[in-house]
Amino acid sequence: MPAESEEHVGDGGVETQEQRDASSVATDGDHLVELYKKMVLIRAFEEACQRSFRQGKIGGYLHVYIGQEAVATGFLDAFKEGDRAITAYRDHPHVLLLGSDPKNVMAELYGRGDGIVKGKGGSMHLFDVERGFMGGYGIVGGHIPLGVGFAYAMRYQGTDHVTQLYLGDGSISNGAFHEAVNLAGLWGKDGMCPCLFIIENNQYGMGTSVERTTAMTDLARKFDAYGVENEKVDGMDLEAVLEVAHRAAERVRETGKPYAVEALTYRTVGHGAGDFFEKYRTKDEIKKWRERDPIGQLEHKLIERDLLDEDAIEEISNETKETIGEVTKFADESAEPPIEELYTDVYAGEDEYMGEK
Amino acid sequence: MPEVIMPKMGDAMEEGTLVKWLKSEGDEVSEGDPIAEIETDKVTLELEAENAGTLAQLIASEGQDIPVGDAIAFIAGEGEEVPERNGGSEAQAGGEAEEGGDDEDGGGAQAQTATEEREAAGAPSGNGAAGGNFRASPIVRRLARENNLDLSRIDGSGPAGRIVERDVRAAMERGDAQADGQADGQAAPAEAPAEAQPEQQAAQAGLQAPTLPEPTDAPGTQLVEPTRMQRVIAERMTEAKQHVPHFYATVEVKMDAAMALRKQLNEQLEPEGLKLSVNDFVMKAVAVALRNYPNLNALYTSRGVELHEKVDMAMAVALDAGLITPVIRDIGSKGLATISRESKDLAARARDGKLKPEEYQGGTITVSNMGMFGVESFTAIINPPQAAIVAVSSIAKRPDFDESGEVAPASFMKLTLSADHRIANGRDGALYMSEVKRVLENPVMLMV
Amino acid sequence: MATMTYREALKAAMSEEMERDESVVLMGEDIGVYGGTHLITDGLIDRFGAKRVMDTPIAEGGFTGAAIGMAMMGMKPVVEMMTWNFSFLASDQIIQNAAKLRYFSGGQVNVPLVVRGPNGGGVQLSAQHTHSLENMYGHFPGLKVVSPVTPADVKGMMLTAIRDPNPVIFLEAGALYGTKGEVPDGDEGVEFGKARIAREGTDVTLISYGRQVNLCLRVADRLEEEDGVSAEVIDVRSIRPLDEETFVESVKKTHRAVAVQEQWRLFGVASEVASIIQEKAFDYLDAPVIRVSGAEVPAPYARNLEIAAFPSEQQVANAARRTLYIEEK
Repeated sequence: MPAESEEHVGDGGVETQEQRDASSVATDGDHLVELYKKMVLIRAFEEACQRSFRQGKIGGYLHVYIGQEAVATGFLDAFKEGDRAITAYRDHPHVLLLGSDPKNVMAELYGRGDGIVKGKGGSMHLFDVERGFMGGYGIVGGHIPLGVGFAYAMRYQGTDHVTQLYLGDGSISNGAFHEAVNLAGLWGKDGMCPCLFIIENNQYGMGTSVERTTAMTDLARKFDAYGVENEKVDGMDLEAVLEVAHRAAERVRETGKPYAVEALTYRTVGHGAGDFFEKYRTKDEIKKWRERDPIGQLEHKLIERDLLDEDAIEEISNETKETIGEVTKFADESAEPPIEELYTDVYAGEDEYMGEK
Repeated sequence: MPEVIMPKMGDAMEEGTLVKWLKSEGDEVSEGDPIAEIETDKVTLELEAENAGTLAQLIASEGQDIPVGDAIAFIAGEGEEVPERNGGSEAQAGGEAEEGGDDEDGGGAQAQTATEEREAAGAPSGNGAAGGNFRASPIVRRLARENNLDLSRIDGSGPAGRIVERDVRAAMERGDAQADGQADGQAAPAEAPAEAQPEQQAAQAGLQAPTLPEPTDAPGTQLVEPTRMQRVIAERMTEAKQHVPHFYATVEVKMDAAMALRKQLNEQLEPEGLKLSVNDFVMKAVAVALRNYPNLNALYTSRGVELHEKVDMAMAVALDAGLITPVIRDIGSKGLATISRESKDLAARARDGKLKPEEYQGGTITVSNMGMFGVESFTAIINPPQAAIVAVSSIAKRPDFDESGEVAPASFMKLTLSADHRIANGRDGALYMSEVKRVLENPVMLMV
Repeated sequence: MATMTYREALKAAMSEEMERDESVVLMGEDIGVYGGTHLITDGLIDRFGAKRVMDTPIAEGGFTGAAIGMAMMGMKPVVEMMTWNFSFLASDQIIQNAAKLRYFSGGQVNVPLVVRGPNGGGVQLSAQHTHSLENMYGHFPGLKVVSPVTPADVKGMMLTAIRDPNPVIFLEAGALYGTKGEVPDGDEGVEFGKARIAREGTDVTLISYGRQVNLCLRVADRLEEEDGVSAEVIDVRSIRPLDEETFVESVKKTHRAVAVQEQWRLFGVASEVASIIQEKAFDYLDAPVIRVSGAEVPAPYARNLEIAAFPSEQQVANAARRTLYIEEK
């Protein structure tokens, strides 16, 4: 918990090293270790997904979060019960961080009946509404208005909950983004939109860099046009993300006004598991960003602060391997959904299905 | 995890080709080293080693197609064992090497859940459009089934002669459309009530059903099912041969005068696009001659011989699927041009299957012309209940004698009458054919 | 019972349900302060306040998506498309989210949303403002689609729509906003999935939806007078779920059917009706089912051209005559 909150409104400024040091020392060491473990698990989960995809066990599209772990881990640390989170299709870590069982998530990717949405959604449509995760969505930008709607409903229903709305740099050019953020700013004037926009700027919309999609590349400042205050953060540094996340979430909760944080991050793998060629960037660039790997950075810090040592790291690594082994085994051995499931949940109410079978 | 598998590199990829090994067995490789070139249906690219070790075993060979998920090589880490080369992959302790991936499409579900499509019957079945199938609306067919009606006895007032509900209702009121199990009625094959079988019909008509041999099924044979039209023709022709006491009379007609008249008339008619055929002349002659021999223009009915004043000339038209006889009504009162036009139109529509029922039902006498097939003479089978049928053969040039006794070429055509001896006797038949011959050899008689 | 216009019936349904249920809110362009372009929501902002009668910016995709989000949280938004012609901008949200959320969330969420607005042509609004979208939205499983004709149906079906836990596409017949009818008192809804027999008859069945139903009623009168033919008229009114039984049973009685649609010929509601009839009542048909559709053109502006672009009484009457094999007039 940072001692004082410094406003970084609209100037896109980044904390100074002293500021960062000050806030990071104040962060609970044990908590950081917990978060480190979570990131390691996410990384291992995503790598396992990729392998399974290549073995043909996961069909359709698969978008993994490798390299971006600090963003979701940091922001969802500020998630409180009753809050909601929504994102696009790179959604595995969000649902895992909110507490869903990785076995059910992997089973969903494998298209099994024990999947978190009964095998009917797949990688892009993970939901765990009980834990506050309102879905992954396949249409770029399409989910953004939904998140703004959640926020309005929260205030309409008299709660102090917050909606965490994750979006990528690719969606910033989409009409849905602009219409939704405009509504957020408008409703925010009356305190009716407690929506925290988190831009996971991994700098590429699939194969197109941000520079090639817009002339004004400062994504945080795009929110100025709609009256939504904003700032940037280094998305590879978990502690920096934690600081912003807690501060911004509380601000949104208090005021009911939306806020946006652009997290600069990088995915060191392709857009989707089938994105093998990656002609749009160089291996050098990827290598450079690997050196800034969020897990590596955190590991380094934790070792320096004597919160972890080599043995502990290896133990965590082995435990994670074991967990993931169980997870994939569970998914492998799970049964496919029964055919009757085809006809359920088309409608809510008595008539789940209207048609011939 | 020493196994190197063929990776899934595209959403729909199911197998890839190992184009080339970039390392050899026994080489040391580091993580990220390219070890092989893989080709998919879209691209060729390099496969990198996922971990360091010794490339211990190359399982796949260059140029081989390998399913996604199958092992193509082994990289042995420090102290790791390499399994026996057995061409397949074996599960390692805690390993993730698997056989080729399942097809994730779930195509099976489609087979089980595709909505059953009921067939919309639409077009009449059986012979297709070839003449003889009625156009009848679905409710008409149902009413016919339910009330045992013979649709061949109902005229259709709908488009293209379609029998529609009001026709059936009217017929039911009149009570004249009941199916009676016999293949009755005129030339066209009837829409027989569903239950009637050929044997059943024959039995009802007092005939013995033929005992037919079983097919041999020997090599070099092929079993062909008769079409409905063929079956009906078979029944009726069989019945005619068994019931009707046929007798025959042949005349040989010298056609030169008729041909000359024809040529002359055709020259005059050419601007109108008309061309009279020999058959037009024959049909007219047959009709003209009937004036003096009216008992050959008759029907043999259950209560006696029904003489007809007007000659309704049935014209045999061969079809791929069988035979049909469209009728030129009151041909005696029509000129050659009219006859020509009508006969061409009826023949064309007969072949296209577009005749209305009233156009092939009825008929008091039939002419069957096989002249175009180079037949010297033949006898035709009567279409019951008609009294007679005239068979027309080819015109052949032969030497003849002129008035002065000199040899001169002349064209001759044979006509053979088949007549029902219950209606006419041999003398009537012979005299009638002489009359036909006279009319054709003196073609001005066609004007009378 | 009370006599009221289509417009008044709509307003009554929405406001009465808003009184009963606080989770119901209205959203749309100029529905609040302006009172609504068709004066349907006039006065409601004074009664319920700006948080419940929300004027939106011109951003159909954005506010429809936000409404979907609100619905997922348990609110019951009623979103107005100023005209359904503007819904194409919202169709990604409607089709990709509203229709499918329950399914791909494995039943974890549902979307109790109503999208409503004037639909159909006939008022010289020309090509971009003239569409009849029953077949387009009716196509998608996960949506419910209705198209009420009478004020009583409008009120009753709007009540049902708001109460339904699923997304409802509520296609109002814009040309009929001013028409009057008897509306029962009380809060009983009209159920979906049941067609209405607007007129009983014995010789031919005329099947339609929206303003074409009234056209069919006029045609039925004509056929009676001019040809002595008794026509049965069926108002489909519920597009999805579609009540097949009513019109199939009718055709089994009359043996003849004409289906009328304002849309273009191919792939429309009448096409669907015709297909179902020949599937389920084949042996009862005395003639093929005839579809009467709009002309294959974008809607024109000029009055006479517009009239010619949509099914006319004469066309429908002659189609009926064709099924009866009597002479067309």
